[in-house]
Amino acid sequence: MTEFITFTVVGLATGAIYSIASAGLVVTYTTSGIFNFAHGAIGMFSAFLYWQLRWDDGWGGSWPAPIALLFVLFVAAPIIGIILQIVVMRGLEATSETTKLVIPIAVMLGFIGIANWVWQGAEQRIPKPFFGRNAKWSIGDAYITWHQTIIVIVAVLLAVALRFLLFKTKIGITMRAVVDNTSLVELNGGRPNRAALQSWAIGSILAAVAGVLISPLLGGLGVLALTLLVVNAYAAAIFGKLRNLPLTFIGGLVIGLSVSYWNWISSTGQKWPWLSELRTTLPVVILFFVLLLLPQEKLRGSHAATIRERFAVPSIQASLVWSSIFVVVVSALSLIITDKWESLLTRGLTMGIIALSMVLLTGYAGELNLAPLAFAGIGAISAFQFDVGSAVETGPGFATLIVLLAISFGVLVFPAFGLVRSRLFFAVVSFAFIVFILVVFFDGTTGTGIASRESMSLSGLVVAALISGSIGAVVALPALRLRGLYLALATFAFAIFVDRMVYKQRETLTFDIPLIGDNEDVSINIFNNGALNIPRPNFWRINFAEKQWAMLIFVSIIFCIFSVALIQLRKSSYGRQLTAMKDSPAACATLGMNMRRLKLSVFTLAAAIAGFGGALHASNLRTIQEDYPFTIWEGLALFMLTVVGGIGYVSGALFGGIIYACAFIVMGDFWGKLAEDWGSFRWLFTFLQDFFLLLGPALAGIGLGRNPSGVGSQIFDGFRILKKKDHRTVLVCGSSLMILSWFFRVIEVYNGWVFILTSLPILFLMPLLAEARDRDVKSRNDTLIEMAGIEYDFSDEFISYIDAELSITSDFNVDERNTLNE
Amino acid sequence: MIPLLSLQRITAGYGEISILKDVSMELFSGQIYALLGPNGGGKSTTLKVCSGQLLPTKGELIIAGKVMNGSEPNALARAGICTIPEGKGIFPNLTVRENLLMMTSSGVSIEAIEEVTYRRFPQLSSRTNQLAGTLSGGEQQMLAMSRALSTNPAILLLDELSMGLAPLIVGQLYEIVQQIAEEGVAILVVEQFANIVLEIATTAGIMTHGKLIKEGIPSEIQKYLKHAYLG
Repeated sequence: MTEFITFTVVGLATGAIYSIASAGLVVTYTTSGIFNFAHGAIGMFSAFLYWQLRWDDGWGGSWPAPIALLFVLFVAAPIIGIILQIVVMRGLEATSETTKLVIPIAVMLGFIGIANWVWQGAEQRIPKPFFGRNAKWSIGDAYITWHQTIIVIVAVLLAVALRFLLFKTKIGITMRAVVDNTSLVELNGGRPNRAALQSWAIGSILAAVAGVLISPLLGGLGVLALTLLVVNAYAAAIFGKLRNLPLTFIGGLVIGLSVSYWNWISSTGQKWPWLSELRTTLPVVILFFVLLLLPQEKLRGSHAATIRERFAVPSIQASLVWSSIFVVVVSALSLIITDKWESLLTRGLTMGIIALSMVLLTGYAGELNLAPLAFAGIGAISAFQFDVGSAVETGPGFATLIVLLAISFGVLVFPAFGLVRSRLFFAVVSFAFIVFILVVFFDGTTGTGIASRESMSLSGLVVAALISGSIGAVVALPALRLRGLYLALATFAFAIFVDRMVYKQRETLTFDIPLIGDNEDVSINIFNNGALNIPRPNFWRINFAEKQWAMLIFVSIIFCIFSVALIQLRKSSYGRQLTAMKDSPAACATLGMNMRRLKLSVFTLAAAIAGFGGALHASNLRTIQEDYPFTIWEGLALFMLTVVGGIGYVSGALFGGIIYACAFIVMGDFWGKLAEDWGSFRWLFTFLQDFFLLLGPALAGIGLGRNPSGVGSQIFDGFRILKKKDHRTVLVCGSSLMILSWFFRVIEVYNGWVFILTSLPILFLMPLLAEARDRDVKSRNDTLIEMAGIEYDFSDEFISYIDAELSITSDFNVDERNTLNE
Repeated sequence: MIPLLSLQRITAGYGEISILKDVSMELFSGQIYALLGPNGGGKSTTLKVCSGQLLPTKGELIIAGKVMNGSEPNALARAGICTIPEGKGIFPNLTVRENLLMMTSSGVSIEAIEEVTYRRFPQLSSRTNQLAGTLSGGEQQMLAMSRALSTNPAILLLDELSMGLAPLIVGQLYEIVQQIAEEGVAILVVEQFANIVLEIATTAGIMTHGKLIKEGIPSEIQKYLKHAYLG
């Protein structure tokens, strides 16, 4: 009984915090239509700020609790909310769901960046509960701390206050009215902008309350841990369908209590040790299932026509030309750059391949997926387990399993391409056969060779794609009915699940699957003690392990193949169906399209691409850890940067991958080097270094509001002008200069910096020059379009000639013209 | 006498497309101006310009002698322009009383608003705590009209008041419109279906293709209607 009370109280307290946080989320969502992903980060930031004011040795420190509380909750938090609303969220009108999701994610990453920057170091920051650790009272034998008591009281008070605010005050009623009909509020004389500011201020205060209250319950302050804790509140908010506050509060309590009771059950001995991480994962599991239980959303004819985002489709020819140019440029670069840069670029390109999965899924099909790197991670693990893993003893069984996976993959994906009956059968069989050949002949499924393999095989990559594709299908299957934000949240839940349950899995799982491992138990140690060593590929007699340049060129070719295939796919009937589904699900339904099959196939395909890219990325890195590179945070950053690059284009994926993996590191290095060289300006350069490393991605994301179609395509559009015949000289001169500069670098006339400083300006001057020439030509014959041709000075002879041709008496015409002139 | 509301050579539209071309009109105190015309003629756009929801690209919006181009709709609303938009001008997820509370931005107290509303529409008084979205169509329009009644506007802009309502209720509502006009309010009524409005209007205009093609007394306008609608 005592235990029951203790665990109930703990559950109630954490549940109450979730309720408070999720209430804030609901307030901002209902009034602005923006799901504030940064909500948790605001809570985290406030908790740190509170700690800083109360206990830090440096600035602030030893403020009395009431003053610190007042400052954090009623000065800092509302200001954060108001600034966010004015600077960032107000620009989100008439943007797509993707953009509305990405920008709060960018803000969240920004907060994480700032917090990591301000509160650096491994210093333990332990906030104390209110009235100290020993302030408690008891029911029977069960002790309840004052902190817990305060939490519950605060939650109840806030619930009442929110209810009062929203239903009894003019401010609250205006906030609700804005949701109903913004323009009518204006016609009533109300001020919708002010209501939005108020709701963001309130939302931000609630996040801060949750952050400050929850921080003492953890061992010590951690940026990511705190941010994610409030993410648990998302599940509570979904309970109330992001709208209903009482249900939201109940949801928070349900989550808090279930986690607490789970801890109680597992504290008395764990039957399944591999479930131990469930204690932190339970909220997202609940989130996933609550999402599935939501009533079916009405099919909408989307508001695509009013959205500012447009994606053109490049021609196949253009994509082939660009791909070849790209591979040539990468090969040329590989001759002159160091191993470090080669490895950075390779990282960028492999990330780009993963990002291609998002181009297909989000850019083409409009389905949001926040877990691209979870699928990539699964791909990497599969490649490891199958190819090099110590756990899987090979036998004919494993090949059979892979072939079965291949068949189901084919059955899922191929019909979407219009293959039916005998052709489908043929395609699936031949696909399975190819996979079989790959698996058997490139690995030799007999013997124990695989266990000691030192290189990744081609079949390893294929297996990675197949397994992560099937897991993609398994995840997508229940989520088929979700769209937009709800789908994004479901995939987000999945990503956290993978983060916790897969990457942190330390138990050896033992399966007794017939056919595999010669009827013995198969035991798999999914994530070997937090790190997996994944070898480089080694085929076609190229040792990719030793030659980074070979890896780089190989990866760039793969990227191009995938890109061209994706563009071809987009132009096919399948691609048109995907875009139709993105633009208007309602129209698709009336046309009789089977959207479920379409969604399932595109999810499977995208997950397969992500898995393939993940295996490549891992093998390029050689080692993956539980906290790098496939975590939810990295995934969000990659997703965001791909959207910034233009998620409807393969160039967006390239941009996203490269910027993600290289740009900020390079910029950080650049300032770091300057800081070393220029001692007196050290503080400035170190500042800039931190700035770009920590805040670069977030700022890039926030800048997205200005150009929702992404910058990748904009850059390409800039170069498009060079295709004109008029500018051939510019193109030829520019390219030859760049080749010359490259050549000088190859024969080592100068170092890399000089190469960059000569070639980059030329590259970017070319389109500018061409544009300037165009403008020059235009200004010379500056005629209004409707006057074109009329102002021309026709000679009298020419006019009489025309008149004669038209058989008009020329005398009459001359007179006529004279009268007109007068 | 200066007009309460005057449009001087207004050109306005969405994006690059001009809907209204060079429209001028004047509206005096106590007048009921019926703006008629077929679908897509620019009637609602005219109303949007008058209420400040759409910024004209050319021309001037003059209210009581002052140029008001570029004023926010909420500022105009507080200055005494009451707009009842197309569809039901209510908040469906707020209760009747909360809807009335939203009208207090004009400076009138909630008690006064409730008093006027419930006196005029007694059937609303038994539904104060009901969500407005669950009222019948007629009751919703009454709720919307109560803003015109209770907030003492100087100018009233009505968009498609009759849409989706039974003729009997439309008749009642227009009776109220007439009473409001008698108190000296300038009223601009936009309607697709002309007959009911022409009975109470003091002036009428026909708008097609973004131009005011005919303006005059209702009985005169009646004759041109067929021509305007059927081209």
